Amino acid sequence: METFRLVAALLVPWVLGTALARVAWVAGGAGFWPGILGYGYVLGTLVTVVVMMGIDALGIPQHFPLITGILAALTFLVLWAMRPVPWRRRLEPSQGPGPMRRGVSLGQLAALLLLGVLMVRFGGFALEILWRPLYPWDAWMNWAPKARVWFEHGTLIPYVSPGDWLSGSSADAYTGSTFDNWRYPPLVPLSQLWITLALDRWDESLINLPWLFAGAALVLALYGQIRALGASPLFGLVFCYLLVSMPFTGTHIALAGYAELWVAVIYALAVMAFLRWVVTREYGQGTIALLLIAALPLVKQPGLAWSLTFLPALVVAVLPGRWIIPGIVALLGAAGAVYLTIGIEFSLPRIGEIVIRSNEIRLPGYTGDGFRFYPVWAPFIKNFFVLANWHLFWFIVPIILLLGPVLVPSRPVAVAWILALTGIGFLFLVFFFTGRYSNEALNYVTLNRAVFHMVPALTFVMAFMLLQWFRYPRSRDTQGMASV
Amino acid sequence: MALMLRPSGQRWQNGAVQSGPNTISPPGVSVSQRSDWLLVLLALLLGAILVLGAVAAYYVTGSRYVTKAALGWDGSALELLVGDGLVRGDSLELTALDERSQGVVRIPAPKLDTTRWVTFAVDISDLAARETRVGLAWHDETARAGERLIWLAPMTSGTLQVDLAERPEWQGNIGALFLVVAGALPQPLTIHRIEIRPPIPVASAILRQVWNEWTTFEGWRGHSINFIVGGTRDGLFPPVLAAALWVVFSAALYSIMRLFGGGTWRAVPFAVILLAGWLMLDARWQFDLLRQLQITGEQYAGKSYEEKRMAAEDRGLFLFAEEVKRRIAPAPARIFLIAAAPNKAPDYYIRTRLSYFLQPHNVGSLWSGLPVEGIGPGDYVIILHPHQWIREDIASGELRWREERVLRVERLMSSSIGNLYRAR
Repeated sequence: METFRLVAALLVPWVLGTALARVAWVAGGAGFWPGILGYGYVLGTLVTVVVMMGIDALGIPQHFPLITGILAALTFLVLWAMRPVPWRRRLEPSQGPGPMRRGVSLGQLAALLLLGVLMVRFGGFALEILWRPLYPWDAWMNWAPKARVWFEHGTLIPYVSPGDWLSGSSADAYTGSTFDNWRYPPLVPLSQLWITLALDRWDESLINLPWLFAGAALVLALYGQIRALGASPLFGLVFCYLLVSMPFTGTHIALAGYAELWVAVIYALAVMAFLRWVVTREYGQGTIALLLIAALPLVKQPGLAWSLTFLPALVVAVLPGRWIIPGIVALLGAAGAVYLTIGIEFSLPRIGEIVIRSNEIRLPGYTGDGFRFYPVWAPFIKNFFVLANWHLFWFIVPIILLLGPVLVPSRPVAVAWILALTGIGFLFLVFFFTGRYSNEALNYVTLNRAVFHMVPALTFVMAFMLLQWFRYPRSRDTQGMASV
Repeated sequence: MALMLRPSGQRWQNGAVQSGPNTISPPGVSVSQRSDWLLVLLALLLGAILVLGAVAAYYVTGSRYVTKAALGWDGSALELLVGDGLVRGDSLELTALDERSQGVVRIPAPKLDTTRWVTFAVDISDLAARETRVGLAWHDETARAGERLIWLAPMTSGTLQVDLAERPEWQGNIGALFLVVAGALPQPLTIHRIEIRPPIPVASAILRQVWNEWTTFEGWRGHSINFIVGGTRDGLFPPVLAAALWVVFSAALYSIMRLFGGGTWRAVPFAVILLAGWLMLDARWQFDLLRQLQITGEQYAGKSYEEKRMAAEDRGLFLFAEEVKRRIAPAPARIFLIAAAPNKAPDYYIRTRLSYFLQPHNVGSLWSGLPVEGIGPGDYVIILHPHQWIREDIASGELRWREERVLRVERLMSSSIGNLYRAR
């Protein structure tokens, strides 16, 4: 029974999410099934989390059969609403699979090998997750405790500041073990709570299964999007392999429990859908991108900033050509003028106060005196080009980002380029212009984890730019593998 | 290989490629493509030889290897065992000898294999060369009467150096190392730095060391979630840099061969060269993952939650938390977990880890003192050891924090990790 409930916990949201993702994909197109399955798992998880928060807001206890029933009902509704939309595209006679080839080509062999390597890698991740109890520090300090507490109480017990907890102003409230982690966003502990509700017991290993599935979803979505843009299966698998093979990616799947993987997955899926919308203007892709961008603050406090990184790229994507540069200049100029004069000050629910002025910076988890330059080049050079975190990734990125817009002066490439630069610029601002994070760069604690938020997205951006560069037509391989 | 580009224009005959009137290649592979793969392989092979040769040449020439591999200590890291002295900045200043006109400084060296370390150097200043002698003493673990001493050549300031390889006494395994000063000390003697240096190795030894460093197993550590080292930290030549150089050299060699050999320029060979470098790094990483998986399996596979916790390194904290839970009310209780330095090591780890193990009880652990205004009757307090500002008055059943705050308590449990109390 426990196994049945666990399988249901993993599959029911996935089926719902897949049904939702189907809206955004042309049935039977290249990358259809990997794409909707990849996006489906993430969308299903997001819906599950929203449902859990919703029933808590109504004062209803967290109850596995109830939530499963709601998700199943939603799945039925979506499938019923989408019933005119075909799951498979009917092929015209001239679009038939073509004559069968004898033997396996070198490309197909390479693709099979890469697929095998990916499966071996994920098999190892799965065993690590199943065997090892909760291991990395922030996983048991910041995230999993809420899941445990919420499970034991059956409701989403509120977490308050240490001061409020001490005063006992809220009788049942809990507090965090740091000054800030009590107000961290809920997606990560809710994804663990969901598994715990299914098992009806606390299991430090099984609560990490969502990380394995999120990693697999990322690979599926990446492959689906690359294929949908016209690349061959081998090209798609090469980039999936490049992403998964990076030690830092694998570590955050195998040593599950941190929020970084979720930020990276959701941000990457948002970027992929956004860039696909830029190329094709498909409303479905644009809608999914918007949903995922809106979901980022649910994962981690920097998620809000990652959401905002889409703004400059959106400006480039929608403005007429002659207005792009003035638009960017106006945006940057306005931001700079506000920063230097009146500043920005507002509060957001669940996130906290945001103050950005020339002499004061207050962000969730950070308070400083304003932006000053800290030349912390050495830790970045060491972590990008000497230590084993990223293989050769950061040797390749500058080349493609420098050459991309030069060799392909097109709007889609410009949008991708601006998006990549904005993300890199955000990280540069955080680590080189704030005292706290420049210190954290020196001790390597936060550096790679923050960078990881955008690495999967950047991997897709590189694939995207290469595809635009070569203007790849459908290969003979894709004719025989149109359903992959 | 159907990767991305249009195939170069060749005539096709029954699926085969005719690149000339009398030349037919296997279907799908042109002569140009076949020679490309051969050039790529050759470029990769030559590139690897170049990289390894460059590494060996870099360390074999000059004193780079010695500088990098030397063991060194600033004067401030030395331990004065006999005599008087003080630390000034990074140096140790020896101000007086003992009644036997001796001063002894312990050098915090690890155990040394004498075949690997052949030069001793000490950087000093203000040595009165005629009155004062400086020597190196050590304990040879392989000899019965293992204490040995050699005197260094007299010098006023600068670096005193001795070639240990020429000394017959320098043999065996060195367990402890000392600097000895004897005679008179008319003025303070300043010791700036001490170094022990290996010999300059031959190229094969360099490459062997590089291979050993690259294949050093890292495994999951506390820092793995933040960064991965990849082999030995601060080794001779990091594998990532080696792979990058290999790719650059191979790409350059391929380009030169293609330039002089003619033929179509394609992107695929460069992509293959790049992937080769990537695969080299990934092969190393995959081996590490497999070795780690084996360790994880041996440590945790098939075990229950309690058994896994008992197999982990911090089982002591887990057992303490379980004992606390046995002694307090079953319903989630308020627990105040007090450490002397809650945001500094090791208290930071201990209190946050205990907070997790004590779930689902309601734990607050951010205070170093007694927040008596927030502790009510029936709440629990854990004082982690050591805590120099909170003391227990057993007679009156009170906890006192700097005599300012008092809390009436009943002690429930006492252990080496901490004491558990219930507030009355």
